[in-house]
Amino acid sequence: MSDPLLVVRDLHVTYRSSRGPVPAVRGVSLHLDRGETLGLAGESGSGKSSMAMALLRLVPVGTTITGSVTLAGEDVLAMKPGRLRAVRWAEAAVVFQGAQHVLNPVHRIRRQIQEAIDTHRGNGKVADLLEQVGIPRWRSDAYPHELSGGQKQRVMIAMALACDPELLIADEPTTALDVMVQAQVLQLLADLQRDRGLAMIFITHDLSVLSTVADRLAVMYAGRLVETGPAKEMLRGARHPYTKALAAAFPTIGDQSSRLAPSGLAGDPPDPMAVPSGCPFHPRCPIATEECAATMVELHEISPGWEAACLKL
Amino acid sequence: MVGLALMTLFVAMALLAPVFANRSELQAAAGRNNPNLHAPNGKFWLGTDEIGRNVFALVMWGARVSLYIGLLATVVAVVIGSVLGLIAGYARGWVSRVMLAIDDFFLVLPFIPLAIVLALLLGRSPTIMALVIGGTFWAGGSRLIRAQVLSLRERGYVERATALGASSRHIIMRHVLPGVAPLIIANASLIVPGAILAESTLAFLGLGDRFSPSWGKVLEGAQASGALTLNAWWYYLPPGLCIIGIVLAFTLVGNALERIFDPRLGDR
Repeated sequence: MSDPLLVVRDLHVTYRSSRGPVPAVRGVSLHLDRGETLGLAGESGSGKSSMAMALLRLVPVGTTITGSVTLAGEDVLAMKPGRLRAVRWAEAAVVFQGAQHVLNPVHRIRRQIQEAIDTHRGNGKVADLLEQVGIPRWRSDAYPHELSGGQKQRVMIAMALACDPELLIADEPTTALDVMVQAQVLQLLADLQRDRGLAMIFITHDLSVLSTVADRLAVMYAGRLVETGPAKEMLRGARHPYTKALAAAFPTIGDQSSRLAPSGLAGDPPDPMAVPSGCPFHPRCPIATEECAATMVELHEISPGWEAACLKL
Repeated sequence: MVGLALMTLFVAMALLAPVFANRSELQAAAGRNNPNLHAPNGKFWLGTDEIGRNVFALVMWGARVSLYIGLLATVVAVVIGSVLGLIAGYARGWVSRVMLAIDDFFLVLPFIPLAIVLALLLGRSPTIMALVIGGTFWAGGSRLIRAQVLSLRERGYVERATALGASSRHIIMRHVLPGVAPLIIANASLIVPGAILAESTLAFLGLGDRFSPSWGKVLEGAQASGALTLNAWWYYLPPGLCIIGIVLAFTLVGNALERIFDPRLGDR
């Protein structure tokens, strides 16, 4: 049990496109213990979803994944298709963003949750699963369009729990929801995670969301990790200039000064096909120097359990 | 509505044929004692053909043969077209390309010469005619289904099912097929008239069974016996009108179905 549940080493994900290969993830290494929650943050296009989906090889045909992904002691990238299908959902389930697209509109939700159970010959009960996520059993006959956005996301979570996975990959599970429902869903995920000892990778671009759920934080930029460390400390005082900018992008409620302060980050995330030399963040970085454009910077420890990829730290 | 009414009429004709006319009336011997190419009267409502057979009986039984061939050919075409369309749309890489090549091949194949050759090789019973027509008529539908599958397979619930560890077969049957089912049905009702017309064409060209005649076969008889020049309208007009009517009926119904399943098409 002392082994980490998930170990990722030097993961690269390269998509194929008509313009040539697109390196979306460029060398990510991380690990996750059983029962631990890792918050994975970054802008759109930073490679966070690509990274997470590559853990189960859920990528389009033609995509190359290199490096190694070890889930519960097994190398995911070396698995045969049959074994991979067995591992999907049974060991690691996914809560997708936008549950309304992920549920098939023509089937009742009971049937769709049952589908997950049957695929792995599990013996979970649909009604029990629904109750765990706070949906009354009699709603199991509903079609997805009869449920609210929050309920649909709960159904998605119930489905994710159907085969009792060790790892939950939550890909922006609250993005499409309003703030109140978002808080409820987050609380639900946090409770389930605690009660079942689930390990979770929680992907979001909203750092404030992570304070509720995450033990550790990893921030991605241009397909690489730029900072990783304990969640509470990082949310209080991020060290990497990119994490700082990401944190500053959300105003603090009740703080008048943050309402008017310019707190965005100028510029766009880099085109994955033309990543800047040296530190990929240097063109947008407020403290960048010439050295940053020339030197490739690796993740290094800046204090115990806290790493950052920045020459200035 | 008009289409549906016409369709009901023809189906009734096919079902009730034995009530109005005995099957034996189709045999050559049946007309032995009748006048040849006789104009309609009280006994022969649509006159007689060149060997004295009752044209009314021929037309009634023709509905049966024409519909049988049209529907069976459609079933064959829809099954082949759907299976290949689903695979071509869902699979990627070389499987998809091979499927597409087969599809292209059948799409450009000149139908009539091929059907004639096949019918000569395999025989000319109605069932074989239907198989030959169905076996060559699926390509267009297959292409339509493939296009729809290409869009469906990118849906979120397909991605979810993949993450679920579901097999391709399961995903196709559970998530893709229900999405293309309306298209398959609408397409099927548009294949029927094509198949009936194709059968009439082949029969008119001399293929098909003389003694279980379809409408096309009756027309061939009329042409061969010189009914057109002899002005024996009762011989060639009824089967001709029937062919037009049934093609119209299925096309109208097919278009209506298409509009129901895809309201974006609007009123045309």
